[in-house]
Amino acid sequence: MSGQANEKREISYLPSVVILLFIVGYLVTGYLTLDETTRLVPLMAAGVTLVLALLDGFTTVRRGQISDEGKTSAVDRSAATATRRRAVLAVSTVAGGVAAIYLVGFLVAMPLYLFASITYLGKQSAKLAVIAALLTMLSIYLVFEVALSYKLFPGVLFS
Amino acid sequence: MPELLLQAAAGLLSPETLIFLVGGVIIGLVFGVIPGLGGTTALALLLPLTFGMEVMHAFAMAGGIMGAVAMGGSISAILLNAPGTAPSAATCLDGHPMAKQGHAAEAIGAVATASPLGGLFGVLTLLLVLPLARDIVLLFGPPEFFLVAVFGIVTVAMSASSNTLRGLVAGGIGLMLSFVGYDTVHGGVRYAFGSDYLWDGIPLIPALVGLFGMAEMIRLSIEGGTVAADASAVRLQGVASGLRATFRHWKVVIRGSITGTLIGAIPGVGGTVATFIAYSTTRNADRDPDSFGSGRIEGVIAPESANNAKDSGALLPTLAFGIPGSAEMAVFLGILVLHGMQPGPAIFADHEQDIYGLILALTFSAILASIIGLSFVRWLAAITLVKGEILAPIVIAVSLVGVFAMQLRPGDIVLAATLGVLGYLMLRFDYPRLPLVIALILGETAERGFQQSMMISRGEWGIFVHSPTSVVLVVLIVLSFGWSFVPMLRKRLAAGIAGAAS
Repeated sequence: MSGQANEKREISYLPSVVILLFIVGYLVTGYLTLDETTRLVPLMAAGVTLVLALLDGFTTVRRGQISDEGKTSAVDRSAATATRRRAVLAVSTVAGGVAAIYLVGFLVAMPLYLFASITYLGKQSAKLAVIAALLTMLSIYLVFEVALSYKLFPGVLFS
Repeated sequence: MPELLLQAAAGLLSPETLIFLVGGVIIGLVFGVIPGLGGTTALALLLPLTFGMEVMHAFAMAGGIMGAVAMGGSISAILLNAPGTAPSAATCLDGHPMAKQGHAAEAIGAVATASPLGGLFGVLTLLLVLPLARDIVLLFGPPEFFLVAVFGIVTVAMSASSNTLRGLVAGGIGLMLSFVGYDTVHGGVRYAFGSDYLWDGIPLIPALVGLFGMAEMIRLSIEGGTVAADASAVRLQGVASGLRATFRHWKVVIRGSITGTLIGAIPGVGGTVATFIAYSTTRNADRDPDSFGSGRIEGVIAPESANNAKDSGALLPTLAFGIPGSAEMAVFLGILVLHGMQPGPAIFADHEQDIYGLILALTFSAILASIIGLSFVRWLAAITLVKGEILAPIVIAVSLVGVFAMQLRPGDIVLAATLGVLGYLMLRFDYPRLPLVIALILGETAERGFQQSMMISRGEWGIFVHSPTSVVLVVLIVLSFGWSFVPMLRKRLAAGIAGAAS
């Protein structure tokens, strides 16, 4: 079995498995924690979705078997690995930014998030990142705090 | 009626009222462009300010906002794939691919034409239908609401992707998520896991900003480059061709406008459903439905016509019964009450001229928003040339602030980011996001309609075909299932003919 086929199978099967687990978890939680009248419609919807997800999983397996027959190259494998690494990095940056906002608020976390994203993930110069971060924060501050009188979230540590 | 209409027009066109109208249009455009804000926020913020104003000035400003928000929301939908307002999400589907291909200005040109045309159609329909308002709204009871919700979910799921099964799975998951929070029929809280935040369910705006705006920005930051795939191809001169395309596709405009007006008039269903259904019906009626989603201008024209037409439709139940057709209308209801106008059939007798003034304000604002929006389109289209590595984190930052500003709840930030990641994964693994969103919106309506129908009929399913309206809706649902197989049958037939010929 080729390397790319392995890659394709991993990409194809994972969502189906996660979706099935989610639906089963939803059904079990609903059955155990909700009374009969309240759970009727949610469990009906989850039941129908489970059948559809099983069908989707089945067709994905069939597609995976077909793609196993394909050829691969080292270049494809390394490109796929690089994309996956960047995806993990991008998602981690957003998660880090949100965690920072929650802890120290917008005014502190946002410039740090922007600087980190533009330099670390975007591979741009530090000077450009500082300018972009400061201009964005200034615009956000002027529009939301000054013009609209919103109080930007100060974070759980400062509130 | 014509005399009152002329008097209302004269009142609206007085210099003082025009200033309020233009002010409302500019505010609407700005609030529309910023993802997460939108017309509801703008109206809610301005509601206390209108207290000291004359009724006509307040209506001019409110009408200006409502008419212009759609245009602003669609600009960010096209340029950034981050719908500024929920109903503009449908414009992302083909508008953003057009921007990627360098045709942002053409798409915005189409928006600028389809939007006021839809608004105009909606207003004319409203003027004609106003005397029959009560009879029309009373055609919809719980079974009909349930069927409208099912119709919305099925149509979008069947047409959102080339993989129908995945569209239906996404719709099912959206429905499941819509049941999170307080059960409005039987009481009790479901799937909140002890979190106070989840008591109100999954809020729509953070969900939309996450699934559409943030997901696209995460993708852009991973792939790099600019929003427009080929920077040299970005044409800032294409506005006129967008205008011409709208008139060329006049049938799409009419179909979208009718959909917008009709769906907008159904309380609780709202504009987002209207724009998605307008998109789906146009896609299904096309000879090449698979090409939708890759930058077809009809995919911009249809939801945009519906987007402005729906405001007139939503005015109908708001004014006639005090039942707001949308969140925006709920806030507008507050403005009416603040100015001593009690919604109900009597409002047409007591405040007829003011009502016509409001209707005209909606029309003028849509036209003004197009003119003002178009004068900035060259600068706005240049956004698509900014490097993704810089643009993505900035848009994510602004979106998160906008999402928080809606209700000042930190939970909204976490939800938007979580759904942003989910949206990116759906993009990557080829699961359509639209059915999930539409089901999330319609889940509550569907459940309430279903439970109430079952209570009324004591468990008899025949209630879903007891009235002509419900029969029509059932037929439409069956047709939308069948219609999605037509392209597949066409392909097989064509392949069979080609095979036989060779």
